[in-house]
Amino acid sequence: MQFLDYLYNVLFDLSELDIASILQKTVVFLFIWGLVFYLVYFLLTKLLFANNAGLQRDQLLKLNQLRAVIATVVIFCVYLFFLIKFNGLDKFQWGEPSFYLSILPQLLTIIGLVVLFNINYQSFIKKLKTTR
Amino acid sequence: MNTKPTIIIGIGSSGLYVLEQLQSFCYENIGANKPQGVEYLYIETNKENVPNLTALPNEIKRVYVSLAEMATMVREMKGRNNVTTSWLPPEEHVLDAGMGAGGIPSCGRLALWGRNNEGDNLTNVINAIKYAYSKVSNLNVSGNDNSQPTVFVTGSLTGGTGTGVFLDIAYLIRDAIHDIKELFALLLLPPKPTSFQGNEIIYANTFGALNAIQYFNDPDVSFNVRLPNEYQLKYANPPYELTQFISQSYNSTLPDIHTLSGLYRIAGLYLFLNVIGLRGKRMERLVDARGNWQIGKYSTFGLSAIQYPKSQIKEIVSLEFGTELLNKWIDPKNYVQGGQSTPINRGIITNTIKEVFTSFLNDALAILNAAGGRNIVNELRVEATRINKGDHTGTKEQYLNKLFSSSQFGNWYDTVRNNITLAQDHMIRSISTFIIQEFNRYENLQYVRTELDAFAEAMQECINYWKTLGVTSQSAQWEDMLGNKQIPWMLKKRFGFLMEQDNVLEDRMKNTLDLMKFHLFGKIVNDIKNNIKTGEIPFVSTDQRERHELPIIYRIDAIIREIQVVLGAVEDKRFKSLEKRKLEISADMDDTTVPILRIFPSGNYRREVEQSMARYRQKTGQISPLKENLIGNEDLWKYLTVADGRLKQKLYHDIIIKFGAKLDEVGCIEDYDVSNYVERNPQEAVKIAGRSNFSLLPIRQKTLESNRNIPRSVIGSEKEVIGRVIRKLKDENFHEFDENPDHIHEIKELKNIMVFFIEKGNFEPVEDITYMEVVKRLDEEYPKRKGGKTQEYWDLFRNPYLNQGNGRPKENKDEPTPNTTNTETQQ
Repeated sequence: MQFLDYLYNVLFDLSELDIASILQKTVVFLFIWGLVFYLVYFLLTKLLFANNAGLQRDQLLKLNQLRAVIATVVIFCVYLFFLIKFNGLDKFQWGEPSFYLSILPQLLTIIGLVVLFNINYQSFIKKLKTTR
Repeated sequence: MNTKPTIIIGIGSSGLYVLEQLQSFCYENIGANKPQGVEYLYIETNKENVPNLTALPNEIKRVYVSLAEMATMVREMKGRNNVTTSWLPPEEHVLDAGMGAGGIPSCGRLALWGRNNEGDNLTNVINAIKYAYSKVSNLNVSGNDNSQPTVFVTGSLTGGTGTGVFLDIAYLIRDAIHDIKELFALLLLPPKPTSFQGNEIIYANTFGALNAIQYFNDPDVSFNVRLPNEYQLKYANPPYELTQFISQSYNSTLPDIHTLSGLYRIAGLYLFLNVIGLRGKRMERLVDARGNWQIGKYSTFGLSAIQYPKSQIKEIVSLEFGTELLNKWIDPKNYVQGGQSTPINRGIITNTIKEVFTSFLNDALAILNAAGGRNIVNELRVEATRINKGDHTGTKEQYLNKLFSSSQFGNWYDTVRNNITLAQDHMIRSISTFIIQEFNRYENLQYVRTELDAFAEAMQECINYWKTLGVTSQSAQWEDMLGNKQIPWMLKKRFGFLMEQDNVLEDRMKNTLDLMKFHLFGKIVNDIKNNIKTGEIPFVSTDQRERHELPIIYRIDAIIREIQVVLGAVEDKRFKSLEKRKLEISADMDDTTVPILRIFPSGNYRREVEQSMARYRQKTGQISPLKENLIGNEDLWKYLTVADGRLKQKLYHDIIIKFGAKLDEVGCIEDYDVSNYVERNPQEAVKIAGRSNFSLLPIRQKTLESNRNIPRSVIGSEKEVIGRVIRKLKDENFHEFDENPDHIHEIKELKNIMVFFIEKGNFEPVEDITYMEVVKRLDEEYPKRKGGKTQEYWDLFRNPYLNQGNGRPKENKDEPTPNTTNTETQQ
């Protein structure tokens, strides 16, 4: 129960304002979403998009990485819905600087996903161009 | 039909043209180029002259007497013992004879006697005569009279060949066919000259030849010469039983026959009539005429005809259809798809062909994978797993190198290399089958040429792409690429965290295998491309069971060019095009100087042709001619490519024959009864029948008296019809023919034509032909005018027969000629 409480706390609690706790929470949060991303990537590669006659395996894996990022973003959006639902809109004080500290893990994750998408996209295009 | 065995020998170019006309009349009337028991031979010194194409397979057998190395032939002959050589021209002057005998009778005779690297001419001629004789003598005929063959020799007495060989040939025939009773000559003479300027040689040749034949027709003179190969011709007989002369000029004020081909046509018609029966009737009369000194050794004739030229109309229609079909095959702009004319769009073709080529290439590359029960694609997975597990000898790099290296045996590289020929065969077979299917479908050579061009383009693009990948056909470069690029790439980041390392490595190995195939197959693709684009000899697949030839642009262009020659769009002097033939027929139809009146139910022949074409289209429902009419169910590509260098002839022949047969089958050109025309147009009929009363030779009138023993006939297919025509002519005060059996000659095979024939004789050519007096003076003066040549020198070229030892004959026959009984030179 303690683990689940901790997990709930990491995912849905926005009241933490202590820097050290926030950083710790951020690391755990990023790990969880990294794990989600890997699982999605793995499942897409093994189950949904295992083969593609038009693409080489290298290219297919890169493409699945992009697909995994998109799928993770979608899941993350679902998470955000529950985050707002559990905390209520009143908690989202967009004018308070301390609010941004409390949502630092979510912000970093969003930014991380966008950056990951872009890096993968560029890499995929490059691979398409250079390999036959 | 009369089945008397007959041999007709043409000498020189004119002889050939007469034979062609004879063939043509045979085809028109009896549906075969010659009747059974008839043989045609043709002796020619001009290598370029070959029998022209006819509607059916040519029946004229050519005997080429070569005039190569003339000086050597003269020298060689002079060196022989027991050969009459006094007539030989000086060896230093024979070299400029030019094409054929060069208009020099001595050279013509030399050709007959001589031998050179191209063969022994005399033996060839004798063998040809004997062979023809053996063929006709096999004919089973009733009655003693009919078992002996009749031989006609025809040619002109103007050029070198005819005047050079016409007497030797007569005696060679006598030598080959012992006791021959019917040996005749039909010789063409030049017309009444308007000016001798530039024609001196022609008339001098004629004069020399007529002198010679008169000389040897003298009962006191025998022909005695020793030929090479121990042949001796020693005869007291005249050369021919009867020698007939005709020319373009009439024995009247009628205008000359406009063209020589008109004269050839008359000569051909005359020989045709003799071959199919007129000879018998003439012989009956001539026996009496000769007994009564009414015909002599020479004769001529007047001949005219009324004809509905059904076969010419049929030929023109066939030529029109053939032209239309051939134009469709080489149309550079449009092709026919589903009955619709569609523009040839290069862009669309190129894109389609790129896809087709990719498919062919993939199939060919797939063939490289398998050999001897082994399939490389199946081994890829096993090897990838083994490498990832480390279950191999040496390092991963070394192991991969072993699989792909060109220096190893039994590895993948070796397997692919050993399969290259199979892949090449597949590529050739695929392209060949595709192009043939496309050609049979669209019937357009330009279309498939564009497709071949597109294939070459697609191949070039493919090669360029492979080059961008760094692939070349050099082994060293492949080794370099393998070691420095492919192996490191195959082994780098293999997505092990996703447990994809086997898939990724397998895929990369497959990729490297493809590059290896490109490296090995690139040269083949390049060679095939070059062969298609610029090759002259097509690649052939090595599969023994089914050999395929790669279609190449050169071949297509050659076929297009040949078709253009057949159409007449490209000039080829050695080939008579469809266009030329159309013009020839058209000119023949329009030539009113030829004494053959062409009649047409619709008014004129052009309308007749149009109506026939319209009837064909109406009856068959075909808007344009179909290839099936020409080649049946045969493969069109095969038809055009397997012609063994005779495509032009094959096309020309098939167009006339096959379309002609189709026209017959459909029945769009009906026969026409000539007597109907006579009944409706009696005055026109009298005009044309009247022309037969004028001989085709300008002779002093007094010598050509009419006599009941001299043959004259109206020749048609039914006695009753001929009788009706004669009555109608009499009604119009034309009384040259009577309704008696002598004047009516029925030949059942004759269709759409009625011929009026009157023979004339009892003259001496040198004395009685009107222009001979002038020619005689010319013959005496011309050598002096031309650089002061002596008469002897002149005679050496112009009179080979009168230079056999006794010089020129005395002109006054009352004076005895010394040594006239033996003209042989004393060796």
